Amino acid sequence: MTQSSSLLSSHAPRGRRFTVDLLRKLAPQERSDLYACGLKALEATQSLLKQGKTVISEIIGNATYVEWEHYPPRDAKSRTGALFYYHAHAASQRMPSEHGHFHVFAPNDRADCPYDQRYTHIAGLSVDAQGMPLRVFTTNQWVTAECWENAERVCTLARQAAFKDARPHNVSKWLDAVLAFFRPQIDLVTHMRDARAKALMDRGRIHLLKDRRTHILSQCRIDFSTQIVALEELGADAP
Amino acid sequence: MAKARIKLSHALPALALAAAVVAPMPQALSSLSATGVAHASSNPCAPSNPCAPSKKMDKKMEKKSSNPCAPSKSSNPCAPSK
Repeated sequence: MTQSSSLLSSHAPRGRRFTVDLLRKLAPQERSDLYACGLKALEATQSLLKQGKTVISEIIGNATYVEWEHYPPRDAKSRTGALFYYHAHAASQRMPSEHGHFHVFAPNDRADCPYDQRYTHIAGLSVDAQGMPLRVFTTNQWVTAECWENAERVCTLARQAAFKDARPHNVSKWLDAVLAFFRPQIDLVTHMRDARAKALMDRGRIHLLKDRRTHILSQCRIDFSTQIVALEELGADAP
Repeated sequence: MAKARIKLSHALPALALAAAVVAPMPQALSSLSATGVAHASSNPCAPSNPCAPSKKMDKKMEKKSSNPCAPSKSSNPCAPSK
């Protein structure tokens, strides 16, 4: 992302220590539930790998992979109205090792949202060329043209959103599991987003949400291994 | 009898191995479309929001929506030919 330092997004610290501290704040039962989500996420990933596929090959299929194009072309929609798509920005705007990212949206019927913006961005999920999760991030309002909600509301919408009946099914199943497994990091970046937006607005950028200098407001590195080891260190195990 | 516990960390080496065997997907090709160029340039008058979901819009809606700075489709010098 080509931004001056004052415009950089808010980064969560990375590494096992930080992850352990983040997950320690959860109740033991929540950690066990998260561990069970981890099992589903690994199973969904393994299931694709056993067929020689990845979540990316599954969603792109035989199409030519081109910057900014949406995969699938008209986005993947569930019956609940939740939707997602995968794409890549220009190479200069991609994080190191990022192949592309999913944008995940929840439906939002708030009456004052414009008719064509009845959705809220839950998170972006970057993956590497093997489809392994790399980071979660939030975007500025203009980037997704979404119905903007505060962090608490976004977290609530995120918990209600399910993609399991969206196509391709293998991808929606994988996405449901992965998003659930990294829910603490998604909640974190969502709250960091609001803190970052407030800080910038307090510094005079009152039209921040429409300010095209700012694309990403917060982000957090993630990976299966760190999350699993941190949960095990905290005593979580599968039922 | 003690309940067998599943340790997910034990599955990680196999996962890494399986992922390593699968060929990495090629990187995205550079977009030559006007929309892609506008998105990439962070142009304040770019025709749309780069990460908004796809919308099914009729032509009337299409004219009304999008960025107010965008020139009309017919006069946009960068619009792809139809």
